[in-house]
Amino acid sequence: MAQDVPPETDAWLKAAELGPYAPASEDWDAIVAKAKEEGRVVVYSASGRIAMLVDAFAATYPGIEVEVFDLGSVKTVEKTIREQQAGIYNADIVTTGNSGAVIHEMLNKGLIFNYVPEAYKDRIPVENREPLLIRINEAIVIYYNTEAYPDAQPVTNIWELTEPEFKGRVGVIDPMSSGSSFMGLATIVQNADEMAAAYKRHTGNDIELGDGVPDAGYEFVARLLQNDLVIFKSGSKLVEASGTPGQENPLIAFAYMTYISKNESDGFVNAYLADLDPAAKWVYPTYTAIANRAPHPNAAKVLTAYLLGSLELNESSVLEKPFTEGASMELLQGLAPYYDPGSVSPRDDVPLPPGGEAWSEMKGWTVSADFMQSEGPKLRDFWLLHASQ
Amino acid sequence: MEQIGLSGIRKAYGREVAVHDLDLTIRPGEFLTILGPSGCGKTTTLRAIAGLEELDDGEIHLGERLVFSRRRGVVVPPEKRGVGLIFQSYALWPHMTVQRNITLALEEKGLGKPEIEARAAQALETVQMTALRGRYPSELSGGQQQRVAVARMIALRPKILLMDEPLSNLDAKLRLDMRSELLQLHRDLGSTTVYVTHDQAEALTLSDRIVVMDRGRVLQEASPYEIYHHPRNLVVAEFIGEPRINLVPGTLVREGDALHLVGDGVRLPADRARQVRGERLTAAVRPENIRLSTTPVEGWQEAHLDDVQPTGATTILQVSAGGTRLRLVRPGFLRITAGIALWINFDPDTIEFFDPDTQDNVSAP
Amino acid sequence: MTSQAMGQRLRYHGFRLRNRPDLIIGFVCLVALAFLVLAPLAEIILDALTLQPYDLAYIPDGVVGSFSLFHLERVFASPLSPALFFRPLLNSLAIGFWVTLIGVSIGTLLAWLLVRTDIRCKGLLGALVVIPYMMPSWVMALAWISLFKNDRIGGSQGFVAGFFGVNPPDWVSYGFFPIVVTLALHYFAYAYLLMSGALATVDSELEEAGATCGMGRWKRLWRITLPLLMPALGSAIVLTFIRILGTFGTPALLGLPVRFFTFATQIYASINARNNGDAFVLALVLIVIAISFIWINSRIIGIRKSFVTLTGKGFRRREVRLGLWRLPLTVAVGLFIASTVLVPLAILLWESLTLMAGDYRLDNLTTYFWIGQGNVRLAYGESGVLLNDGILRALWNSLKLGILAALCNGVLGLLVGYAVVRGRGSRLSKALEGIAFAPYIFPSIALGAIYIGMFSSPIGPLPALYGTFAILVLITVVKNLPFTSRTGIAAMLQIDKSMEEAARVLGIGWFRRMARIIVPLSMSGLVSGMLLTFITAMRELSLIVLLLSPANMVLTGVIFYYQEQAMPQHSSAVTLLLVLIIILVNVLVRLISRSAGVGGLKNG
Repeated sequence: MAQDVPPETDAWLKAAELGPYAPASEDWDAIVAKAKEEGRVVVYSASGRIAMLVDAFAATYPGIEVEVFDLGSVKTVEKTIREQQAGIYNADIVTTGNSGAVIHEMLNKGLIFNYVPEAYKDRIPVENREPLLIRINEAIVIYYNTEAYPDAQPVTNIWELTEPEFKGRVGVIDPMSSGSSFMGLATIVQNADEMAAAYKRHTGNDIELGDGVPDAGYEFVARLLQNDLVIFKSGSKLVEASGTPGQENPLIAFAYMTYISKNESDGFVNAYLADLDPAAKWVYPTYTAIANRAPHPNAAKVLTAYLLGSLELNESSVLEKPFTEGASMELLQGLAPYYDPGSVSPRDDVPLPPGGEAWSEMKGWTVSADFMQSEGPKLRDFWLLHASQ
Repeated sequence: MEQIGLSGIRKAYGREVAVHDLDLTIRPGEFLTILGPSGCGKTTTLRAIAGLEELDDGEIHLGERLVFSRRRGVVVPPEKRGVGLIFQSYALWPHMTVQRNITLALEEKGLGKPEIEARAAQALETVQMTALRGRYPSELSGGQQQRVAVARMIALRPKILLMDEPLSNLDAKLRLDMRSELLQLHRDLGSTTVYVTHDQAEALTLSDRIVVMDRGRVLQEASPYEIYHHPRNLVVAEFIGEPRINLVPGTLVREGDALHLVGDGVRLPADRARQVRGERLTAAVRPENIRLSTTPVEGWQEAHLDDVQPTGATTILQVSAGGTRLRLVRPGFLRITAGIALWINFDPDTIEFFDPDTQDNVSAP
Repeated sequence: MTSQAMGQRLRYHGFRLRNRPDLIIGFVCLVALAFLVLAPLAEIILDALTLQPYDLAYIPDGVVGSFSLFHLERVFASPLSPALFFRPLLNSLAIGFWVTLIGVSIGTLLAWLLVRTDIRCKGLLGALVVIPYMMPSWVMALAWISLFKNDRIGGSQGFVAGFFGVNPPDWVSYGFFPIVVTLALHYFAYAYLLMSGALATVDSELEEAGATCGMGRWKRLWRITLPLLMPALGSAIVLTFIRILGTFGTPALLGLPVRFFTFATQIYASINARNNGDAFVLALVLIVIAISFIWINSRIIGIRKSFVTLTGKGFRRREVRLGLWRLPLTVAVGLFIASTVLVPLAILLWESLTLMAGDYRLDNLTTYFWIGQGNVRLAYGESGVLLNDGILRALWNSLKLGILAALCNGVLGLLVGYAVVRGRGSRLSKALEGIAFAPYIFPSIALGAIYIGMFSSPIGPLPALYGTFAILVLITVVKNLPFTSRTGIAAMLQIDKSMEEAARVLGIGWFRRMARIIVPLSMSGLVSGMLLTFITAMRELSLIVLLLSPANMVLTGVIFYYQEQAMPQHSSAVTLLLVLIIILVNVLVRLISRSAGVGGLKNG
């Protein structure tokens, strides 16, 4: 990272041993000792579940208090940028999705710095830690009601959802309010060529684009909307719509993969479209990074490691519910609150959560931060134009 | 007893000038009334004395104290002027009892509790409102509210008392009764009082001196008698006097040694007219000063009785002579029928003459 | 000019100023508000006219911060404009019009019935009537969906669909019609609060004058009472309309399924995308609309005209006798209030008691989410609401925020009202009135974002307020100042200036005048304004979410968290708790002010 950083940041990087000053090999004990002296770590998080770790972390590392700001993805970015602009350096760890902004507006502008604890480097594939460490990968998938379609999936090619049979029967979480839902959509558009190929496979013809529609990806979005797509504000209401038993004509839902757990807690009968042409899941990461001029950089490093789960955790670990207690908790550590089906660690040595084994089988695409940054706004405009009829 | 001195007072609202360059001195212990129609500037002047109007220019002295001077940069706020003001609407505080309305002001003066209670009790006694001291203003009649306002002043004992049309919201009978109460207040307090009204009868009854204002200017400043008998111009003449003064426009004619004013169907002796420019003149005669006879009299003028309006103690007679309509007033409840012929005569000493253009009084004194 | 003359001139103006405490107050308030209100406005305008980081996607080689009309073109004159601007604007204006019409009419009628007639059960009805406003506005929308859901959004059946077996048509379940109905059922209470204070101070004598002319009671209401209430009515209409323009929750819930977009949803969408350019241009349009409304309102009403009804000349507040109408009206009002209050509350309660969401069978009920704890499988291990430390702390914080903001706003509203009305017609007065109202139409999110920047460093003697409780109070006060300044102005307009002048001439200084006379006489109006601030502060989230810290967490933040985590039972329970607290405080305040004889006016 050959960035020009202001002198204060440079001095801080040096003291914290981050960025270009990261040592060839870390002295973990020294880091932990310094962290205890710092005594605190402040987290800006898009997800509030991190607050569940406060007590457990304090038990593992007594003397270090975790303070969590639960802000949602938009505000996490907004708050970090505004504060640093105003010369306030309050945050230690910033963890959020929203790839475009995180990479281009924060990482590339030196508002956050990447940190991967040395011990984990081998356990995390490079794409999950460069340019920025991913803490958790989640995905958007498509749900259907197993009561209504007991024998087989209702569709095998995604383009079927744009046909009259599914008019008004497909639901999506409002991408204008949900960053994750938007990223899911963006990922589809990102892979326009594959979408075009899938179309050809389904109909035998080349796709015809509407007026002003740039490519097959956008065309898919347009056709979904024209097919009376139902927009939901709440993801849980959406999967309730698709999964409640006893319905005559339930919706097909684009929703978060983790909601499959509602089958157990709420009695839904959802299932993924696990085998879908061209892809069945659209992956979006949640990053974690250390904020520029963080007041407690060593505590931040310790918490980062904690978030990745303990080093004792590996493929053969036995994990039992409830994951946030007991032995499972000791192994999973920071992963525990996120150990749901459809929510996957960046490490390659962590067993997939029970119920989420389909993850590795489902063909998926991952959102690109560059695409989000450069095309995101245009996709937003496109959605706006076509959603408002 | 304090003197009030106003000099060069000027107040304008945008383009409209409410008070033009007013000079006035109110003598210690005097009861002075500022009289005039609505919008003449009388209320503005009163409020300026109290400090409730911001003036554009001039100086105000209360006794020895300079309380306002634009030029010298002095503006004493109303709180510190120590005057008493009775508002047209009484300005009783609706959320306080009668008693409290009186005592609140006294607390400001730094008096001890017993003294405050004593004064309040005495004031209530004087206006005969003791029994109602626990009531709220909304529970009182108009007259009672007015008396509370008066009681406030009694308790306060200001050296300067200002009253802004305090009787205008009362019915006629009550008004008459309250008039004397207000005068009594003035005497008891020994204050210098400035009274503002548009009711000329009140002004005549109460005042030591009257100041007549019209459109921001002082027209005349004199005793009630002077104003009544020798109005300085037509506006004053018409404003004062109930029933209204008779105006007879005409031409001056010399007949031998005597001057006569020849109007439309009527002639008046005009020897007292002087400083006459040209021949046109307006004569003014009070209704009580026209002599009347039901039988012909040598030298008197014939007139026709149009209407008879008895008012109880007096009777107003509407009379026309030629094209001129005149009002006469006579004591007593006259039993006389309209439509008959009458003979009228004028007493030269009671006629005032006015220049029809300048409206000034051009009579010999 | 000689130095002596200069000195004298200065002395003169100095004295003059001392004489006019309203000028001093007005000036100080103006300066403070200019900072708190105009500075954010300036930033919004600046950002709307310069390139933002988001725009680089469209203009890759653009320079961030350079002047550009890009946003204006995008919003007003691009192919996107109908979708981004025109259609949502028309939708919002239409909703605003109808909700204002219906809501203000109902609210005023109820206020008249409950304040000026001899309708029965006044105490109870008066306390219940404002509850719809105390709930976050989306609760009414949720109730509607539960009742009228059709199979468009699937899931469990709606009540009407289940009970009657008939799916309501789309236009009943979603979109314009239910949005108008649910918002009207929410905002009528707001109008009620605004109008009841004013109605309490209209002199009956003026109505009785109408009676002697042979006007029946309804005609009197229409021709005498209503015109006298013009300032308050004008305020109520303007406030309601503009508030609706910025309402997000309900139109989002009910509009989204049929793709009915409003202005507010577009602004929030833009802010969510961090597209500040679009968001701020849209926000500016709202501001311009709001300012136009205020201007029109003040031209029609004319603050210089006298609406003095409290002159100290004898005030009577006699009740209008309803005669035969008494019982039917009492019942009608009672039923109306019951349905708008009890139905949503019942739904909240029910939701908080269901073990599995969407399952309405009786055996699915549990009190766990209220008083249970220790079950890690349920709700991620979160304790029941009443035993939950985090929630109880948040409750305390919310109360602190609400009460402090209400008190500060009461004082501020009084001062602003005083300065504006005493200085009627002057430029200072008009400017102050305008600025005091301006915060109303800032989208809360935008104001919050900008306040981070403004208060991150010390300002003169003031330390950096960022991260403190004080800044939450400050931003809440500023955002709610429009209510209290309008009610302050309306209250002051109804007090004849002779009340204060009499006191001045009697030698009573400014502070005592305010305490003994002005405040008691304007109390009922002030209390309405303060109560409104309290309620709004308790329900507020978007305004303060960027400024919150875990130590200062408030109840609405907790609700937001539970909604995010899809824990409907906890979120319903805490929402219910919030509403109950607000109701409780409301009841207490009414009881206290009733026994203290607030309004200070005794009946004849």
